[in-house]
Amino acid sequence: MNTRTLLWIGGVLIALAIIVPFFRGGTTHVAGPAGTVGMPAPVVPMHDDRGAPVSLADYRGKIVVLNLWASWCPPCRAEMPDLSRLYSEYGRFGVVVIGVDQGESPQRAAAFANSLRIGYPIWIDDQQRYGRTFTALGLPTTVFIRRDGVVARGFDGALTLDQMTNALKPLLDHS
Amino acid sequence: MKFSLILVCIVLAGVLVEVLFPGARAYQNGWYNVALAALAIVLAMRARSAFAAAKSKRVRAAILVCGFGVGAVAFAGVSFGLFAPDPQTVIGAPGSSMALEGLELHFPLATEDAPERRLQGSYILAPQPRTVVGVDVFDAAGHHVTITQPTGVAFLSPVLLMQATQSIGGITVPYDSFSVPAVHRVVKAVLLGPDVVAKMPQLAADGSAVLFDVENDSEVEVPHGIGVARDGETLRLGGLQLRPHLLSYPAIRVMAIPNPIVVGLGTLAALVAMLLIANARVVRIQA
Repeated sequence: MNTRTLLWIGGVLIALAIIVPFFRGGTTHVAGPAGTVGMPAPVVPMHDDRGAPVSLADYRGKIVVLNLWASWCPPCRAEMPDLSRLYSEYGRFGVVVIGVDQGESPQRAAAFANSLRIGYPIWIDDQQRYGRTFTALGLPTTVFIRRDGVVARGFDGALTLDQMTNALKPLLDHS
Repeated sequence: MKFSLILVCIVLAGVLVEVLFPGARAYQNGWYNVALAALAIVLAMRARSAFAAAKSKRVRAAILVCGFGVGAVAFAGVSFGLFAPDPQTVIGAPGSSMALEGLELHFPLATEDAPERRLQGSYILAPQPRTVVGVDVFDAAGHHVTITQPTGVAFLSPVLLMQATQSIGGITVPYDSFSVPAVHRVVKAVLLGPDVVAKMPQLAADGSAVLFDVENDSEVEVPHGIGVARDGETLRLGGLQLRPHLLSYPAIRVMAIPNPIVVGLGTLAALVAMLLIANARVVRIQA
């Protein structure tokens, strides 16, 4: 290959390197919790419904099912008993379900959870920070987090017990 | 030769200014890029003649390197002018992310974590401070309640980005809205700047304030549903307690630039080559 050919090839490659970045157009919002898959789950310090400080960092090494909910949300209410069942069936495999109340007071969240006899931890996210960082499109929003703290699956809307189990099983297998 | 060197400097300066001072509309004007291209073509012709007339291999190599460097820089500049997207300001909710022109834009949860002006590929991202309104909402009993923004950028964000505007009494003011699903309320929030507040002596306030208008789910205003609150002040309206926080949160100004690596290397190559050519001429004159 002679010098002239090499110069031409080099010139074409440089021209492409210059032009191509301007053609990766379009604007997209990373829509919904599914857009956070593969990213480390944000660790946002907050308090549980009893006022104790809590953090996702405390659950590294466990599979976390993080459920964003609120007491005024009918699908959230419908889903919570299944989440409770998931928690009791898979707890011995290192699975934790955490219900993160979005924007409500600890009293309201605790009263509601007690009325449904919810056994899993209830956290209070009064500034709705998890709702924002997981770009929730609505409530409920459920995120499955691997033992290494990385988001594995994200769901917008209520899940059945079967759907929860199907999302959980691959994470158990990989563990 | 002197004329050619001047032309080289003009072409390099014309592209370097696009990198160092991005965002000006002139860069993407037709005349600007036609001028750059025309100068580059003239230089190419002069370089070809100079290459043929050059007696030493060193000078020929320098002319080649200079031509390649200036050509690459000029191409980068003209390509930018023709194909690059216009500068744009992107407003995002704290904690959100979006993809734009192949870039990943992340808006941090807290203003103090907002990144500085930075280079990302062929784009400069610069923060532009804006006033946004964070809202705490409580029910009549004083319990914190969820707020949602069904039509906003982020559904569960309690930070109102105030992107829309409306005219009140001939004054254009920013506004936004949110829902409080637990108590079936929809609240509109209007940001009143210091100049507007100054015309409202009953507020007895300096700076900005927020006007709230509370409606029910059927968009019917509730009794005693309009009021104005200063920053951090709690206002009781329509069965709610509303507390606005006026915050400065940056939008991101996205400005394309000519490929900085090509411009940098091309400029360096051209300058080094020009020095070599100038040096060779001095040696020849002395000889």
